[in-house]
Amino acid sequence: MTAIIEIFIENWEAFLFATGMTLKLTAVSLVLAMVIGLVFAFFKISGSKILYSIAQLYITVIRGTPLIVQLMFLYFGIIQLVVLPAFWAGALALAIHSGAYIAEIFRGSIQSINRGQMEAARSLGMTYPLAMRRIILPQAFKRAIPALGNQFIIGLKDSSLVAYLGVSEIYGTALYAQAANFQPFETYMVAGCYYLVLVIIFTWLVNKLEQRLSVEQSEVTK
Amino acid sequence: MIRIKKLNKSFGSLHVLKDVDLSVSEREVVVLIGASGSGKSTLLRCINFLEIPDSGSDEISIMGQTVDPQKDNLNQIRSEVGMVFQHFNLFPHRSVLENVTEAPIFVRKLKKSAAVDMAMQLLEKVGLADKAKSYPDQLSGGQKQRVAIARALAMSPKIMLFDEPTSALDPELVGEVLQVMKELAKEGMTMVVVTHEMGFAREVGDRVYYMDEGKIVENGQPDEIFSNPKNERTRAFLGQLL
Repeated sequence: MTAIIEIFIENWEAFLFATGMTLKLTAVSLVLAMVIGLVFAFFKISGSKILYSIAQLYITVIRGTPLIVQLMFLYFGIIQLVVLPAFWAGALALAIHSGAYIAEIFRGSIQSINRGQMEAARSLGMTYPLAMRRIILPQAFKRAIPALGNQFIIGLKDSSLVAYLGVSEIYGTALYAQAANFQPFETYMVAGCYYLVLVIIFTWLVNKLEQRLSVEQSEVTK
Repeated sequence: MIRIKKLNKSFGSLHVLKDVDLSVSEREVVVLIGASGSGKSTLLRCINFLEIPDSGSDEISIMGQTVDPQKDNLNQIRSEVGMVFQHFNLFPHRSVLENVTEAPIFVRKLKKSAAVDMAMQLLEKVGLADKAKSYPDQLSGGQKQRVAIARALAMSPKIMLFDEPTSALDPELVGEVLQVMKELAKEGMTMVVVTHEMGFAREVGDRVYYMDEGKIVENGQPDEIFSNPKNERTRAFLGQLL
């Protein structure tokens, strides 16, 4: 126990920096993943066979291969074309990975909105994109929040794999530290605690958001 | 206002509307009656192109303009034709007021203040000005349907379509919705109403169409249809209701 506390104290600066890196990596990749997810969700519901097939292929390949393989494939693939810093290569790979799952989350939540909503919007003269943006998506997004929150937590933890591209996020920092102090058990324990705390905070935030949104709707305003 | 000739509509191999002719003049209230599955709602939905008629259909003209669903801007036509649905379809994430101002602001590009003024007048008209800030969840079925009528009227439509507007309501709430519809008719709104409320059809309708198996079997003045139906099937249908 004392060894763990020692390692915690010795490395707190490195881990604090690493936590910032993990959060940055997670935030950037998830914002990109949301955009990718939304685009491919629309491909799937577009009614176009070509777009549907493109989305289906993307989702099948991403879901069917390990993240670490995608990460390495993309990193060494991209290096052939453009020089991209490891951080951005990692963020991009994570985004492409999460995007596939988020696409399915968005598709499901959009399709779960009653058909009558779209019909009512169209009957008022709204175009399809306007009805989507003003009427369907706000409702679908709200419905997607629990599943999105879950996906975000997975994304946060998956960002640890970017350590293998040489990015000093939490897991990467633990890798270096244990190589120097020869105490892998205690060092990984510390790294694990950092992730655990981040996930707990994040879960709490998602729950708050969910509560606030459900209150907003049933709020009695008289 | 509406002229439809030989309209056909199929869903896959199911032929729902067969050579339907319908014409509605300005300020006329036309009521469509018939059993479930007879095609009344589909016909109504073809008038604002929520359903696209089969390509073999002869002609649909709305407000003197023949519409080609492949080429014409259907959004433009829909914005002139209001529709009220059986299940209200209010936007649950928007307040009552926002439900009414949504389309005027985003489709008609009205200033927000002007849209709010107009919406409040319309809510006043349907007797719900005090509910402007409520959300649809907090309203009764009858109130929801009256908001839905105000929402459709906010686009200043030339024609109003009603698709079984009272069928999802508890019996004691039907009256308040019919009352609003009667007032609209009195003001001279051109209306096409699918309903099972025969009292309303008789009192407010200028012309009643009876549909069966995708065809218009008989049409005429309400008094003729109800007291002296010529067609055997019309007689059988009305007989079941009494």
